[in-house]
Amino acid sequence: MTTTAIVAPGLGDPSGAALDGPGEDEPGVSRRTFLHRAGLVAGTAVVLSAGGLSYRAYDQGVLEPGEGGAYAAWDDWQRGTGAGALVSAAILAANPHNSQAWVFASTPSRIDVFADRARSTGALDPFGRELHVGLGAALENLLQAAPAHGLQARLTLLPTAGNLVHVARVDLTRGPTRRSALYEAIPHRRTDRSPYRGTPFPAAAQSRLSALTLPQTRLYWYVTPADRARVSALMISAAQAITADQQQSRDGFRLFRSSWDEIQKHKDGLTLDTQGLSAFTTAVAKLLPPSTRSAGDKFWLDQTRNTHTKTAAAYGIVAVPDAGDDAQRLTGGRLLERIHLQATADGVALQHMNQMTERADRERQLSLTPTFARATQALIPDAGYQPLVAFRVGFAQSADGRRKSPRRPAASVTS
Amino acid sequence: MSIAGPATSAAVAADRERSDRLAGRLGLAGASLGIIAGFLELDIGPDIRDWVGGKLDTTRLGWATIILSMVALAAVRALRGRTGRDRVGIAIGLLVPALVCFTTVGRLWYPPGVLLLAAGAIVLAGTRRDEIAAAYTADHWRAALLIICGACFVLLGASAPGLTAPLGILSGALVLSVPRLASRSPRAAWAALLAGTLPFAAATWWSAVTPLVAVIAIVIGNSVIRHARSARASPSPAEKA
Repeated sequence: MTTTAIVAPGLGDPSGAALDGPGEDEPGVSRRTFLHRAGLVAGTAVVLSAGGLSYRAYDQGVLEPGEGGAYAAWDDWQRGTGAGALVSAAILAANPHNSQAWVFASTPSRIDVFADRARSTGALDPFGRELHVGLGAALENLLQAAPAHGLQARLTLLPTAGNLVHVARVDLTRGPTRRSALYEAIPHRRTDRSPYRGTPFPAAAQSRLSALTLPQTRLYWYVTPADRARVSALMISAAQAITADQQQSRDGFRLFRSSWDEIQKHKDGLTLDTQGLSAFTTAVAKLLPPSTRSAGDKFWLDQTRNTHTKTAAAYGIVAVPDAGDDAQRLTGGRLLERIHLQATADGVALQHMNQMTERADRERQLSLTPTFARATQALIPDAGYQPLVAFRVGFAQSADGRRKSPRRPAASVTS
Repeated sequence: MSIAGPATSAAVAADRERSDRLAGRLGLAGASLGIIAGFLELDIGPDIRDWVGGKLDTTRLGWATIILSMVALAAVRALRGRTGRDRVGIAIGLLVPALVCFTTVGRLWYPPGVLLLAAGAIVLAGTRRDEIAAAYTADHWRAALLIICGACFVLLGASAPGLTAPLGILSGALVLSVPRLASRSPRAAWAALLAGTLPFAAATWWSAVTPLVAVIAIVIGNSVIRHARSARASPSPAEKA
């Protein structure tokens, strides 16, 4: 007769080769054996949890921020030739909520640029202000890239009368090859949401950015503590108002990509990597379950209050005579991108902050009292100009705000 | 508890042979279909995303499916006539790929997954309780926990960019070697444990996960090495005889 028994971990096998405590036929369990077993059970739980966490890290691409097809456009932007190379530069431009609302049609001698209104940011941009600014920024990159590829570009804004989608035509001819500092800055440009250093914004850097002009555009600075406090207060109030507006909150959240698969699939939108958080905090955030809309709103509001406005060395506002005019919006967008590229070349961090104008447009859409429209207009000293877009500048404390944003490749936005 | 005489022992052995043959066939079919599923994911994965669980990284996951299917195939080949605690290892070699690949290749894994699960279950059902018990000592348990830590490093290394990828995979391999090294040379086991945990964890400290897994691996590895040393110091009754 043979007897067999299942032996729990910690007890060892029935042969006694690895006994850690009394066998089955011994009554009770000694404290040592109990602790031993408890240790193994706890160890098993810890290891299984670590295994689950490792799989989550793998699934969320925690160890590979800025890698994969969604980010390839930043590395491949100079690979093409001719018109294709110009589009590759254009798609790296700043644009609202990284919605990339653009479509290009290119031939060797011409590039037509169209607005993709299906990619609008909804209630955040009810009149297409930011959409056109983003398209203007893409045009600026395209125009900076032309001479670098031995092409001369001639820009016509809104070339088809009555066609609001066809925003620009760029005719290309052979020309001298020249690579400008702004062109070289294209792949390094980032919207830097990280904390900036407390140092004042140097007058020399301000002058260099102010020297970048385009017809019908003006750049206004808010550098003194009093001016900054005034803009900061308005920025925070506008952020609060947006989070309180269900539709604006929903439309903002819609473009937040919280998983690796989403990022790689859509190749657009805002991500945890671009929030200017430390690498460690970003990794932990990726391991946690996806944030809810209300948590996301709270995070943005906290960041606006405690990081973005608190550490801004200066604010800038690009203004045009009529902020409702699409051509002026496109030109304003070009100037904004030019400023951002020059800032990048100078080592200055820049973050686009458009909550004031987003809220002003929303008030107009809903026929609300124009609180933000008036307050933002009051920031512009010249009566003949209207605020178009705003930003903050400074010197970043770390490289945490330098991570890449996902981009749809040029081929997928070119017909 | 079981009562077995010579006649019934022969009958039990014949039953086991029959069930092992069935498990072998099911396992072979499952592993082969699994390898095919892996190659399909590699080759046409992006075109059949609904069939591969909507996965975007079909290359890496395709290879993972192929490798895990080959582990299952090796387990099937090792099954014939195997007795004792090895059978538990074989069952694990069938069941773990069967379960894991449901996450790597989606719907394409349903047929191979079900076949491998059935094969693993049949092997376990044909394994005596004393054989299971022999595979279930605290030392084996600790070694298994350390192996999971090593596998975590391999997984994380596989998703790391640049030079951290080979570093992570090599680190995982070193951690996986610790249980075997511990029974031969504690010093070599410690060297493998520290070399397998610290550099990768240091290189990717910001990820939060690798330092955590490294700490857990060192704690468990210490226990594995310590127990292996005491087992060597006090030989079993059979060795004494």
